[in-house]
Amino acid sequence: MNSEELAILLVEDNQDDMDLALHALRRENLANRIFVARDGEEALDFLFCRGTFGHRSFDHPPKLVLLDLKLPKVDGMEVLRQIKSEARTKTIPVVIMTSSKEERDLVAGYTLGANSYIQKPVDFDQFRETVKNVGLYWLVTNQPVPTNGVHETVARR
Amino acid sequence: MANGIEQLAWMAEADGSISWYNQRWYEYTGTTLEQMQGWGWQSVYDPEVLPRVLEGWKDAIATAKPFGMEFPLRGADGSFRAFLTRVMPVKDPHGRVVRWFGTNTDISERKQAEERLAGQAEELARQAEELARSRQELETQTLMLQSVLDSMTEGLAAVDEQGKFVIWNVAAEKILGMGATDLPSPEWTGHYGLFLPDTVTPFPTEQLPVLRAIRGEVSTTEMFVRNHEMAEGIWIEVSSGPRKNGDGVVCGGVAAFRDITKRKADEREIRKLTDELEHRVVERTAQLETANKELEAFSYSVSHDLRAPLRHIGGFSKMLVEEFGSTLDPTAQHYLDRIQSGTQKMGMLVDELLSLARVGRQALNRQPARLNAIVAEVIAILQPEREGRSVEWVVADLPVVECDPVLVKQVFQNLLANALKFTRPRVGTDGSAQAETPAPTPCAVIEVSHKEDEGQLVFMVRDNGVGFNMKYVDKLFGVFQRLHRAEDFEGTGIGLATVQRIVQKHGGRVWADAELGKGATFYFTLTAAKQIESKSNGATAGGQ
Repeated sequence: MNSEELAILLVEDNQDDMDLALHALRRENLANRIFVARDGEEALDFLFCRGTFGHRSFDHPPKLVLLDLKLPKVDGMEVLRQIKSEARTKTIPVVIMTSSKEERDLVAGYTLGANSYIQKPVDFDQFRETVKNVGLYWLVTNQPVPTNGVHETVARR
Repeated sequence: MANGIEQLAWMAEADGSISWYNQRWYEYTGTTLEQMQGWGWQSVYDPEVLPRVLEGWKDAIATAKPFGMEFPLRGADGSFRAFLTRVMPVKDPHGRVVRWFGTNTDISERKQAEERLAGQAEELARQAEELARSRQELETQTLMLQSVLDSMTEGLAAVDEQGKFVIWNVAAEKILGMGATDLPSPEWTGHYGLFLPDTVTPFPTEQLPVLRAIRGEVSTTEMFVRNHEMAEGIWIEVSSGPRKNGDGVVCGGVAAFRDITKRKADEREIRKLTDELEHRVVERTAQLETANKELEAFSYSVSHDLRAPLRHIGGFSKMLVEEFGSTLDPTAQHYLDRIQSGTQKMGMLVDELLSLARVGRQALNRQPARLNAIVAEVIAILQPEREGRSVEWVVADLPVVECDPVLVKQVFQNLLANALKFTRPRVGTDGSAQAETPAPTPCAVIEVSHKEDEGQLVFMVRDNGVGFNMKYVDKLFGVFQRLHRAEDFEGTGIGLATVQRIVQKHGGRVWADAELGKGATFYFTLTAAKQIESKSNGATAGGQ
């Protein structure tokens, strides 16, 4: 695993939530491989290696995207839609982490291909536990799609 | 000479005694001179008239005046015939009566003719009288019919089979503004200004009710009338039918009609009001939908925007405790604990308020649900809350009912959590050091059961907890209403309000019964009551 390899893309506009999430992830030693995008546009530029991220390569996609829904510029649902409709990014696990437990958000999220939907618990202990579980599950327990496989699929297009 | 005449003839002496009869007398009466001489003639007289005859005859003799009289004489065959008798005195030169000369002329033929004539005259008079009487009767009836027709508020027109008007009452003239017309029927529509309900198409002649009536049809028709005699057009309703003679053969038609302009206006007004009402309902519904959407947006933003800062307060105060706790003095730590518990409480409050709002907004998703499965699930969820306690659950066999399982689960979750909470002082006596306590406290018992009350399923959650004073039962289901102090029993005061909202959404009722220190029972139904009046054991949380 070289330094280029990124574990988590955290899409979060709120400084407080960002700090709390980073705090929780840091405790699990996952924080050193995190990139934080502060709005939907930045998240998309990062994932699609464009704009200020033009130098990035598709060879090193994040292993997990933690996505908030209420975001400036491009909202979370749109970010999700674009990730899941592009062959090069659609296999990246996207976990929606939001304050909202609205049914319509849940339905829309899963319909667009979200891999998981988590309501951020108000209680900090629970929040920490949740973040830890999500991180460990998707980065350690879960077997991701082989990198070669993605490339072959893309090449054949 | 006297013997030759057709009449009966006789002669009497001055004193009236008859001395001679002619041959006809004897022939007619069948008598002899011997029988008749002197005053013997009386035997051929009708005894009924004889006294009158004698009186007249004797008066004539006494006054020496001629005598004339009609009376019957008996013939030889015993039957009487009418005769006119005339007697003339024969006087000497000194004017003294020397004898009397009398004749009896048979007048029975004339008499009969007279009688016949009199009979005919009488019959004629009787007929004339009868005619006069029936004419009077007819007049009376006509007058009555006329006054009936005139007193009617309905217009009445009758035609004979040729279409000539025979009746046209006062009201008809008042309603149509004109009297009966002599015009032929094709000109009636134009004459009276009759139109179809569209108010512009002239009424087709062949469809005119009174003409349809002549054809034997019964009909009820609405038409619009506007002619130069009226200020404004009017609406009339015409009922018509055939007129039949005694043999049941159609001999004309009758049409009754009334002014329904007012009724039409009322109908229009009602329709307008209905339209307005509908329009208003649509408008209000739209407003309500907008309000609902706003509420939804509000709930969403409460969900998102309130929860986030709460998480931050909680999170950072926790981090403060964890990272700098050792350097803080106990009071500062205590304050941080208070911040933590405040944050938790507010988090619960926000969550429960949201779920209450969601109940109001969501459509009911009715489906058959096994209540025992729901209750078991709820008991499992509540497991952490009875950690270290001895609680006896008594769950009866519950039926499968049509309901929204997600919402009903919320009902049981609230009620069972309450039961669990308010039985907390019931610690039980089993297997602990308290076994030697002189007055053992029973352990917590929570029962879930159902019964049928007047055809309705009533579900019950009973506990043997602290109960409450029924004095405050009215407050039980109100939002933020609490019957216990927060130090004794924590809570938001939203749970039972949510229960009530869910039950009412199902068309049911929820009520409670309790005794302070003994326990409480909550009852609820999930269907609308079949009876208007329904007995309940406790206070009812009725829908508002």
